[in-house]
Amino acid sequence: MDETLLVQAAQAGNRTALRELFEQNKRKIFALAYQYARNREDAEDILQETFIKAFRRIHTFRIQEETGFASWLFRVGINCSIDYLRRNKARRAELGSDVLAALPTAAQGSDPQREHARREFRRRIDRSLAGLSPRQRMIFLLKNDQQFSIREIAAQLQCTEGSVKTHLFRAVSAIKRGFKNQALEDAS
Amino acid sequence: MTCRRFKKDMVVDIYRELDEKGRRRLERHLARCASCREEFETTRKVLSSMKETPAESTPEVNWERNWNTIEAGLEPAGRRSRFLPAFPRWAYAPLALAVLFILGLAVGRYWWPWRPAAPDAAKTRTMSPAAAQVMLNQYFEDVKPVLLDYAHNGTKLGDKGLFLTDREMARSLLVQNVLLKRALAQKNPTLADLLDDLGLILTEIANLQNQDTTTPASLKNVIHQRQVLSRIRHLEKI
Repeated sequence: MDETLLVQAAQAGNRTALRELFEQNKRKIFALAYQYARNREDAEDILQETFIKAFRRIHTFRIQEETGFASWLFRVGINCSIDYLRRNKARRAELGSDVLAALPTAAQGSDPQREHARREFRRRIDRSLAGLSPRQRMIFLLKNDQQFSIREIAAQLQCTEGSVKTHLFRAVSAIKRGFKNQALEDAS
Repeated sequence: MTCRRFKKDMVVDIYRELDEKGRRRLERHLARCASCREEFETTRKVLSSMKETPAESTPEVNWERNWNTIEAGLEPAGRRSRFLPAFPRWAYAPLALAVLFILGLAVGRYWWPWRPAAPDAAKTRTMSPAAAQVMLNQYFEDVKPVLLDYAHNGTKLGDKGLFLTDREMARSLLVQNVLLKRALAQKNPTLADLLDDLGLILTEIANLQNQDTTTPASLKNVIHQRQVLSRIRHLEKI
């Protein structure tokens, strides 16, 4: 069914339309949330919060003015993810434990040594990401993992392209710094 | 241009988003700045390594359970939207205040039993003509002795510092004067004129000081010149 018609039906309070919009967008939003939260339970919380917020405010979505419902929903998802990270600052240091558990075990991999190195590298990445501000982290993930263009990120976060570039530069610098520090720790 | 500016461009270039002009400028700078060249290589390696290490696949999710939670979360909003128009959230507080204000006005206007005490003037407006005439006759009866005293003895009494009429009496007559003017003066210009003169005379008497000798003398003249007593008698006959 056409997205516009679905949105119109959802705005009129049709539950079937809301369900259909959920079905069409759930994987994309969950992937975003999971990248951010790094564990299933929190990602599910973000997913639920995103859809509840979006559906409650669906009457504010202007079909003619917005770029598309999926894009608008994604923006809600980004904001929910950033809010989540702000609320759970204390837990950021613990990020990574679920990542390790989610990765394939040595028995599943063909080369245990290579697999171990890959896990270690991913651990470093996650530690570095955990040190970023919520906004920097979001911009970095959207650029690096989701492969959004700078213009698209600016549109999603409703800021200038210059601001996105600055945040991206700071994020990359912080990640590099994190890598350097970890390398020094490993060497000592 | 400083190295710092190029460092920002390096990141943008690694993501292949630097425009042609910027890219040429960066290349020129890298060709002559060893430090930036080294940093560019490091950044590129870190980012490409990150890309080469794919993010783990997302775990299995019970979508049905998530949908049920979402649906439950929508319930209050769904109920609200059936009864209330979809105003933006900030609009509800001013709307509620406006509704309360209108309700308050309605209650005050139609149901509140208390009313402010009606002024005496309002009472006189509703006074019947017969009642007003009775009041007028009584007023004339009261005011005549006062006027007679001042018309015949005003100066003499003033010299002694004794007034036959005290100020309280004059003030009481003044109040009646005002009420009668409102009740009868509109239909009877002659009476209105007389009541005006009486009002002035009574005001002077109400404000008299004990040692004042000039005011009683001037009041005597006024009563005579304006023929106040004869006008009263004339109206009494009618």
